[in-house]
Amino acid sequence: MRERMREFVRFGPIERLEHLFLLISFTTLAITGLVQAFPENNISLTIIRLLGGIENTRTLHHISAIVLVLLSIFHIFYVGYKIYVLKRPLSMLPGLKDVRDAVDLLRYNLGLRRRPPEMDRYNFGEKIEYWAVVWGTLVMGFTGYMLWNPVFTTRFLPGEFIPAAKMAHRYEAILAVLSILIWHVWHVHIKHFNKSIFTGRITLEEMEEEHALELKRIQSGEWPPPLPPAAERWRRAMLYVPLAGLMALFMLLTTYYVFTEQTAITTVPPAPVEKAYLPAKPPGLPTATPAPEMAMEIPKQRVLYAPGPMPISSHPVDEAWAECSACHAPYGYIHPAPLDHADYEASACTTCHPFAKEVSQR
Amino acid sequence: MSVRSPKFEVRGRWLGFSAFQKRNTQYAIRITLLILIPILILIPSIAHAQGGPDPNRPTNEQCLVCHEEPGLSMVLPSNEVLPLSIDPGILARSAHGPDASEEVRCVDCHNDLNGYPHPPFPDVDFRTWQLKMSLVCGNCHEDQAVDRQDSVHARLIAAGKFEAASCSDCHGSHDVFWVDAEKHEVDRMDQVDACAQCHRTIADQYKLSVHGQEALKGNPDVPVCSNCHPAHKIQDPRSAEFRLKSPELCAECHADEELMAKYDISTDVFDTYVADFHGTTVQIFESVEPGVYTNKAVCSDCHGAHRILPPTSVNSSVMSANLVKTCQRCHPDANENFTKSWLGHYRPDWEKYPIVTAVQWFYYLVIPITLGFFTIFVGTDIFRTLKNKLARSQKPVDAGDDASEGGEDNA
Repeated sequence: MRERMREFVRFGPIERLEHLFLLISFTTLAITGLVQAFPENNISLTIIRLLGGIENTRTLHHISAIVLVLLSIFHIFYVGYKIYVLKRPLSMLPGLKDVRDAVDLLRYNLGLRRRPPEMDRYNFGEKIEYWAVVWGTLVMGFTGYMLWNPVFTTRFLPGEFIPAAKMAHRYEAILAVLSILIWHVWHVHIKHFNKSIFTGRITLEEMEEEHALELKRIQSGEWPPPLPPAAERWRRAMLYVPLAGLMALFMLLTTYYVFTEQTAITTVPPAPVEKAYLPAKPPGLPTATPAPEMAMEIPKQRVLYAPGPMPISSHPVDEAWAECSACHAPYGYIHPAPLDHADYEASACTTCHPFAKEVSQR
Repeated sequence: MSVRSPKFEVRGRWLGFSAFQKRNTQYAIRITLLILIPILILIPSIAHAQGGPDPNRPTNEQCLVCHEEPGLSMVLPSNEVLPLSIDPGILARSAHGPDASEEVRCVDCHNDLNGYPHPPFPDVDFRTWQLKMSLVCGNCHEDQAVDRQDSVHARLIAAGKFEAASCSDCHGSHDVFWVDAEKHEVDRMDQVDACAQCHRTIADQYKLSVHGQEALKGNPDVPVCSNCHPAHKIQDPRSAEFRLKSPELCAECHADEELMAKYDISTDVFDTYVADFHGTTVQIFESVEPGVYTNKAVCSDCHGAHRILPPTSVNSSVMSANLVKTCQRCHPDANENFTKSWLGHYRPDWEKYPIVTAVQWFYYLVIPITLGFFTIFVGTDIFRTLKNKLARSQKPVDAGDDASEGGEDNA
C-alpha cells in the first residue's frame, strides 16, 4: 500500500516536551529528596553542600515539585483534549492482553516460547511505567504537600497523617527511584538507547521488536485511526476548551493558594531564654581574702577627703624602718601616701608626720 | 577528675573527650601554641615560675608575718580598698593548702612580690589586676588555662567586659575550692552556686528542674551546670554551634541505656528526634553549615533549657495539654491536631500509631513485590538479550534452528 518506511513518527512535540519537563523535575526531586531521606550519608551531605545548604536544597525540591504539579495538570487536560476532541483511542489503558504479553515475554525470555509476543502501540512495560508515574505523582504530590505545610493540613486531617505522609513520601520515593533505575534504565537506556521520546521518531527495527502489532496495523492502514472531521473537532473543542479551561483555572488557583499558604512556611524564631547575666554582686572586691569579720569592716571604697598629716603611731621609727617610702609611697601597699606626695623627698616625712608619744610594740 | 560518679566530669566530657576528640586535640595543640608562645615571650615574670619553683623563694610563714595582721589594707589608684590580711586558716583549708599534691607558696601566684619592700601596685584598679593575676593559674593548671582561652568568658573579657568570669571568680583565690571528690567532700551544688554568682536567674530555674531537684538531693546521675557547659571551655550557648550540637549533648545521658534504665526513661529520644523533621534538619546543618543559625527546634526549644520538667508534670511544656502552646512558639497557627503529628519520641507501632504503621507495612509489601517483579523481568530479559547477541555473533549467516530465537531481528 505504501513504501516500507524506515522511520515512524512516534511522539509529537508536546509529548516530547512533557517528557523533558518530567525528566528535569523528577531528577531534581529525586536528588534533592533522597539526600534528605538519607542525611547521615556522606554523599548526601556532599550534594547538600554543593547545592548550598539544606534550605537551598529544600527550595529546589519545592520548585521542582511545583513544576511537576503544573505538568500533571497540563497532562490531564492535554490527554482529555486528545481523547474527547481528537477522539484518539485509549491506547495507554491496560487490558488482559498486557497480562498475556507479560507472561508470553517471560516465557520467551526463559526459552519456553520461540517468539516474543507482538505488542501494540504501548507495550505492557510502557504501560506499567506510565501508570507508575501517575500513581507516584499522586502519592508524592499529596504527601509532599502535607509535609510542606503540616499546619494547614492538620486543619482538615488528624495529626497522625503527617508522620504517615512522611513515611509514604519516603518509601514511595525509594520505590520510584529504584523502579526507574531498574525498569526504565534497562529498557530504554541499556537494552538499546531508545531516543524516540527526544527525537519523536522510531526506527523500523525498534518497532518490530517492541511494537510489532502496531507496526502491522500501520502497515495495514488501520492505524492511526482517522481524525474526526474538522467541523466535529471544532464543535467538540468549543465545548471542551472552556470547560477544561475553567477546571484548569480552578486547579491552578488551588495550587497557587495551597503553595503560598504561609502558616508553616514562616516560623517564628524560638523565644529567648532567661536573661543569662544577673549577678548577685559585681565580681571583683572583696574576693573572700580577709577573715569574714574583717571584710565587713573594710569599706569597698574609701571616701576621698583631705586629711591632715597623721602622726606615726603604728611602729617605732629606727634604722630599720627609716625608709618610709618603701611601704608608704603613693600606690604603695600599706597606708600609701596621697598622690600629691609623689615629688616629696623621703627624708622630709617627719616634718609633717611627727612621732607619736605612744608607740605600739609588735 | 570525677565528682562522685564517673559519669560526670568536672571538665565535661562533652567537648573535650567524646567523638570530637580527634578534631579537638589538634585544635587544642594549636591553641596551646598560640597562647603559650606569647605568655613565654611577653610575660617573663610568669614564665620564670615555669622553670620549676625556686627553693629559695619566701615561705608562706615569711609572708604571713605581716599579712596575718588583721585590718591590713591599701587604697588602689581607683580608690578601691584592697584588703591585705590573710586568714591562715582559710589558706590551710584551701586546695592549695598543706593537702595539695605540691607545695604552693604565696609567691608562686604573687610572683611579682619576691621579697620586701614590694614593688608598687601595678594596675589602676583591682579587677584589671585580678584578671592579669589569673594568668598565673595557667602556670600549673595548663590544660584548664588553655581550654579557657576559647571560652565565652575569655572572649567577653577580651572584648572589654571585665565582669566576665575569670579563674578566681569561680574557684576562689586564697580559699580556692577542692574539686577532687575522692579526696575531699565536694558538694556538686557548690558548682551551681559558683555559677549563680553571676547567673542567678538561670540557677534558680535550674533548681526547679527535674535535674536540679535531684541534684539538690545529692543524686550524682543528673547534670549540674558544667556537664552541659564544660567548666573551662564554656561556649556561648546562644551560638549556632552550641545550638546545633545541643541534641547530642542531651543524648550523652538520654541515649545511655544503663543510666536511663535506672529511671525508666526511653533511650529512643535522640534517634526518634533525628528521624523526624527537626532533628534531621539540625543534623544536616551541623554537618554542612555548622556556623549557621537555624530555627528548627532542638531539645531545649520544647523541653526548656534549664527548667526541664518531666513530661508528666502539669507545668511541663511538653505535657500533652501544654503541647499546642509549645508548638505555637514557632508555628503560630498550630492547632490541637498539629501537635499529634509529633509522635512523642515513640517509634510507630500498631497500637499507638496505626495509620503510620499501616503505611509502613504497605510499602514493606509493595516495594519488594514491585521490585521483585521488575527484577525477574529485567533479569530474564538480560539473559535473553545476551543469548540472542551471542547466537547472532556465532552464526552470523546461518538461519537455522538456533537463529529462530533471534529471528525477528532480521525480519
